[in-house]
Amino acid sequence: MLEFVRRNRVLLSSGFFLLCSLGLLSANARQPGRIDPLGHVFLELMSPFQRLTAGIGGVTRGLFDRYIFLVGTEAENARLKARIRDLEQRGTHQSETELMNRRLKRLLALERKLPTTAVAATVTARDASVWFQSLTLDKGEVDGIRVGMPVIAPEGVVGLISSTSLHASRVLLLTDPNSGIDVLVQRTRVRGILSGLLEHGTTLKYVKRNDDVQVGDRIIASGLDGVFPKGLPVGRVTSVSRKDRGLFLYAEVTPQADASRLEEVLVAFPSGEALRKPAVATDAAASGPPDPAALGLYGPPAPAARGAKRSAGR
Amino acid sequence: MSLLQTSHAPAPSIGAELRTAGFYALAGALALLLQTTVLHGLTDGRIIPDLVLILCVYLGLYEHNIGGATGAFLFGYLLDSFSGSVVGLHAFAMTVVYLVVYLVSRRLWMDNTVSGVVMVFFGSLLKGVAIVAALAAYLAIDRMSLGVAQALLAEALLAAALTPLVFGALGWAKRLTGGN
Repeated sequence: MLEFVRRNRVLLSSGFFLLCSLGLLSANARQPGRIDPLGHVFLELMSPFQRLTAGIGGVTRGLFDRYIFLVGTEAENARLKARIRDLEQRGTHQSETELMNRRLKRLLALERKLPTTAVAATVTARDASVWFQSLTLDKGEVDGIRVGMPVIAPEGVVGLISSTSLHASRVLLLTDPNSGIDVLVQRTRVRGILSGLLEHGTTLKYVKRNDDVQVGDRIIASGLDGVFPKGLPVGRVTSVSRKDRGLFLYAEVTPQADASRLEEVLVAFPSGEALRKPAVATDAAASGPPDPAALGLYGPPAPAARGAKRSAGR
Repeated sequence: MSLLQTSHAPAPSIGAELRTAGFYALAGALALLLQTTVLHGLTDGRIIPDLVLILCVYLGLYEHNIGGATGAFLFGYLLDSFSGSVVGLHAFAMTVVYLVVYLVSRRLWMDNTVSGVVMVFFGSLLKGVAIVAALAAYLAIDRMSLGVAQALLAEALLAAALTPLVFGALGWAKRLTGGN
């Protein structure tokens, strides 16, 4: 018996781990929450290194883009090179600062107009595989971030917080095949569930074949899932197909917020629940309800519900 | 031509085993770090070379023990922590890849770079199939198009192309840390 176990130890241990992973899969498919005993430990351990690597990566990319390819020019004209480098450094720094300033201003404007308080976070890493869509943020539980909180950008809905550690958190993007949010077609108020696709992009589900949905229609959050404030822009319909059979039509939607280019986002607290209420948000709260038109919101804002829960669609 | 591989190597000491475990843990963390940051930026996230998969194939080829299987499972679990929302999906896929590579390498002589490249290519395809199968079985993912197959093939080719580099680096680092 012992000899059998010793000879087949790799097969037996592989079988054991296959059963473990299938058990994890089954448990996660059945439960609405995420069953992940070690995930937050990995997230917390890797987060500082990811931040560091992302920073080094940016600097290296900048060096390659701006200096390494100018080696020939340097050889030809050393005097001019020093000046060009100096000017480029200044110019790059200036335009980078200007761009960041513009992005942060837009975030601030969004934060002021939200019906609840929010915390700004920086994107430090992206999903580890091409199959799924998620981001890692530099804010975690110590900043008040909890699983299920909505993540938004000035352009619109980004996704939901799917897991957290003390100083980092992960966002499940709305383009992930496992995400789903309750949405409305703005023009016709037709309801549906927006869900991600394995091959990137999103699709509008559970809309009846004869409902009025057209290419170019704007999709907004319905607010009925109790997570995203009503009226937040989500995306635009880019194709609609009605097959000969079946109850529902198939519509592809391009998200308004391009997650691949996001650098800063807002994580919104459920109303009344803010660990560190920012001053600007306090001012905004005192000045009355948000103005959807100024914000780019479509439709009247609804009060954000407590206890953000995972959206439908699964 | 295939040769039956037989080995009767003496059992390694606990110190050597710990060194090997630490080496693979560092390699896995570095691979994940690159996958989630630098490599993502190079391709805009459309195709990411799966370095963790290459590590799993390496384990399947050279680590025929319980540690190898555990490593593959943990690498998959690590990926699950930084990818998607379904815990266990990559753990399952990586364990399947490890098991198949282990079974193949027990029957065929696999101690050269070309066979490593081939194994990584098929391992990547196998991982894709395992993920899609698990998604279909557990989460009823509908509408799979040609785009999925194209992404799968591109990912496999990219991983295979990087194999000599990664295997070379692993071999070099292993020799440096005193591994066999």
